[in-house]
Amino acid sequence: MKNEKFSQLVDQLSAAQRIDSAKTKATIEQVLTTSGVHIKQRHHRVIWTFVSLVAAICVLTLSGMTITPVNHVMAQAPIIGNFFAKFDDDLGTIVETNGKSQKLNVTRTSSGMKVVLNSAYVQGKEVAITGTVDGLDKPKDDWFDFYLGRNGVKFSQDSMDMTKIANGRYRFYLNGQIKGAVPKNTINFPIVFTSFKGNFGRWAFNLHLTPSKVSSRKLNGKLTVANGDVKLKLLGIDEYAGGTGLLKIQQTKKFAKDEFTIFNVNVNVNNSKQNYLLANYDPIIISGSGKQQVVGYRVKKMPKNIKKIKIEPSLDKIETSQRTTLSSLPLTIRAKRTSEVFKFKKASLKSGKLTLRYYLTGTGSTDHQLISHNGNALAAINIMAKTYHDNGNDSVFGNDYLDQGNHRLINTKTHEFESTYDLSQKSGLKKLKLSQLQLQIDYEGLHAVPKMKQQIIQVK
Amino acid sequence: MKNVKSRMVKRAIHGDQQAFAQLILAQTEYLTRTGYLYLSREVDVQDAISETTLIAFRSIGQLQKPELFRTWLTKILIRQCYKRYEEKAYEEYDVTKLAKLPSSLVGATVDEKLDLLGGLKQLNNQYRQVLLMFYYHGLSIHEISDITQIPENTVKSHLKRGKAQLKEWLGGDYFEE
Repeated sequence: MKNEKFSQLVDQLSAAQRIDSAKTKATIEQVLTTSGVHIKQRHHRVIWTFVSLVAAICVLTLSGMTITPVNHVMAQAPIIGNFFAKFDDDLGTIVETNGKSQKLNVTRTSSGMKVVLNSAYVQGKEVAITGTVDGLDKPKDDWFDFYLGRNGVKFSQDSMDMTKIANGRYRFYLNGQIKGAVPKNTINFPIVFTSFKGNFGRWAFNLHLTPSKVSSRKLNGKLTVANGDVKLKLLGIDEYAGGTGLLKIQQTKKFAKDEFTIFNVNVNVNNSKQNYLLANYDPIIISGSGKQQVVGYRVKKMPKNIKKIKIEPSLDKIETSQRTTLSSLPLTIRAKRTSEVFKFKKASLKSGKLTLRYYLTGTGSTDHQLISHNGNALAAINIMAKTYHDNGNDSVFGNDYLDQGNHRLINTKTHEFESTYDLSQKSGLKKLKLSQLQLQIDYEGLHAVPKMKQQIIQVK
Repeated sequence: MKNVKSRMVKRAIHGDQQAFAQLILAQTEYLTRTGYLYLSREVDVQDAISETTLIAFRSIGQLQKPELFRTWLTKILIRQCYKRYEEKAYEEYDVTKLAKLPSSLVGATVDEKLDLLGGLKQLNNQYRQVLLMFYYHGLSIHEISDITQIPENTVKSHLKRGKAQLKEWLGGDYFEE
């Protein structure tokens, strides 16, 4: 149970610590490198984007001597990637490159720190703002705080970031979504910053953002995936003036708790292939809940004549738990919807120590991953009395339920595991016999989300 | 406020190692600060973060709810910190020797805050660990019991005594709604 007052005290005290996070960065990088991860330096991509786009501008500007309209458009474009590209905001980079971001250039000073809001964009419900802060000589944490005044739109923040650009000078970024309908003409955005890196002040800006112009077109197409567990129906695309779009799909799931996602959207027009999905954005739930939802995927500007949409789907199936009495072992238990198979040997119970041996396959994870996951991945098997009654509260299992055991891999070739349980820990279990005990397999957290093959929606 | 992009987490869950690297490197400062809340020696903090990174890297595929990435990572780190904490002896506290809480922390100097933080760290360590896990990181009694391997009733009594110590020291109403 989190306590806000205590948390604020700890936050403020913790922020005063002088820590060396460079050492942590080196530690993490060393572990990643040892684990075979080749860490890409993010700024290289920005630099090369900058170089190639500046080169493109030079070519287009020169050619614009003869092609005036192109030169005119590019002349309005800002120096590429000045703001949003620096924060890996693909959507913002497109808008900015198209010269459709909104210049703000408003300044406030408080507590000796000058805050300038540089640029913003609105694409549908998506809003992002960048700015710089000067005079921040004593950073104490890695965040900034803000809120929106009462007369503004309702806003739900998605992410934020700060990067150092010089001594005492930082660039910052935030993005999120407008809740509810987006106003047609002007978006009131009264934003008040209250701290930057643990330095408090008040920097209030009464922003008026301009919503992006939008045009919609319909698309017709259907696809059934995962043997009918999910049905997709194309609805259309909202296209924003900034050069991005929202691909709207109705998703109907057989099981409400399953999680369905699309990872790549390749639109096939005249045999050309391109990934149009903006990878760093979550789908927006436009309407509906449970089994049927209309979901919007953020995409780059898509072609006019779309014949096929190739998608890479993913479905995380929810598997219900299963129980069996320990005296019924040996037994093979197969998950009903996912692919896990537990092949149990006969259980052993001596002096309150219960030992289960079993072969586990079909999780999609390696045996090593199963064992190392937080030290207790195999906590999937819980022991309880046959008379156990679930009170529906995860945190209070009662004295006849044991979810803590020791798990180890016995044989890497056969995937044989052993789990042992000390039943003396629980008063309701310690005197019971095998015939009075049961096990429960809880599949949540056990299986990896399976990858699915690319599939095609034929567009009519 | 401290969200990470859950789409990036989903990519990491699906085996995108670069996405994982970006995600965990973005948590560098947070992991360091959290580590120092539970441990004092730098070598222990770095050791706990190293092990946390390795466990998270190996088990990200098991994460069910991408939006809980940071919570999940925090729990791994706390578990690792607690393992190292268990191996260390702790000092007895004396609340009368601790710095007093100023009327408002907003105007407090960095040194004053550090004195208070030092005071917090000098509370009986076992109580402090449990207070932080429960009231700061929002873990349940059951989860704390799992991490610390102490019975749930003992966790509850540690919370009660920790609250009493903190109240005696700070004189405030930190846990009264």
